[in-house]
Amino acid sequence: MTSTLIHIVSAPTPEPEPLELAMALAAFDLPVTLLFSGAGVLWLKQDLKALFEGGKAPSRIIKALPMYDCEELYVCETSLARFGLQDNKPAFVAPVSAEAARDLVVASQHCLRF
Amino acid sequence: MTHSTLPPVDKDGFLVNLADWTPEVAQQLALADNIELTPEHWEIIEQLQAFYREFDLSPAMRPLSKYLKANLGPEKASSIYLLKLFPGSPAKLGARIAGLPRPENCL
Amino acid sequence: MDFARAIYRSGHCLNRVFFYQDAVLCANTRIQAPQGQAGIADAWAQCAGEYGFPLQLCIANAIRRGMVNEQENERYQLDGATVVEPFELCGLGEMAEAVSQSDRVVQF
Repeated sequence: MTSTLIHIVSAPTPEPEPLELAMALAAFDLPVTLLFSGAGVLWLKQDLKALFEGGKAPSRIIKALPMYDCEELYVCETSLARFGLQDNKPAFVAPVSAEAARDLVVASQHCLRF
Repeated sequence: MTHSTLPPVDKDGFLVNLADWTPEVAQQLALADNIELTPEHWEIIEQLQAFYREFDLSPAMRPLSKYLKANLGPEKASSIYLLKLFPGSPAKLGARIAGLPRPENCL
Repeated sequence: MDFARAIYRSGHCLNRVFFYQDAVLCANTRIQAPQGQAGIADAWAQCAGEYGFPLQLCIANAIRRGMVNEQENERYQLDGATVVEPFELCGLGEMAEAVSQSDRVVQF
């Protein structure tokens, strides 16, 4: 079985396309792990509104991930701290050390970065 | 209520303006698919709308089923149950009647 | 595209090229290349034709950016297709299949 890591390193995009890819792969029974680091941790900011009028709020799509069978969710704690979001992220996203984050990348068979 | 009062829908029968949705519109949308809405239907419609409010997404079958299981219990989350209420493609048909956007192509 | 050619030159093959997010715009037939430059859509089409790999656009990403083929043009009642063959509009199931079939997924 292949393992795919979706590594989110960039700030939220107007459409949650990186997350949609993760959900789609999971919907087709591929094991998916998500890792947020760098500016990517901003996706987790709970009070972030949609980026345009009528758009989707990143925080709601993040909340939907477990519903879409994306249950392996990690965030680099160093990045979290840099953006001051230690206490502003969903509980189901597990903080990991920068070293453990690197190991996730190394251990995955495929890695897609957004 | 007659068909002439049905707000505009697209080629696949989804409301063009989601704000046009009312319970009466839902009845009409359902009738167009030969479905008579029962309390069991309404229970699912409410869950679909709650899902949309919570996640900004029209659920596909699997997330819908997961959501229903958490909120209404496993019997009402089974595909057989949902197919009985909304024959064919429950997530798509349910979304249409509940006034949600069309579920994304791939989800 | 150089990478695609190099893959074939070294005896490997491409399962497909999948265009996601803004990359779907590569297939836009209305983009006019500056004089003296080859259009990117034509260049991909030629490369894919030469080696025989599919060119697939994520359909949801494409439609959001006004990229439609004949069929979607019809569905949304627009004024003409912006995507032509050999580019295809596909669901992410195709991407999932590619991920599970391939030794490597390379992203640009």
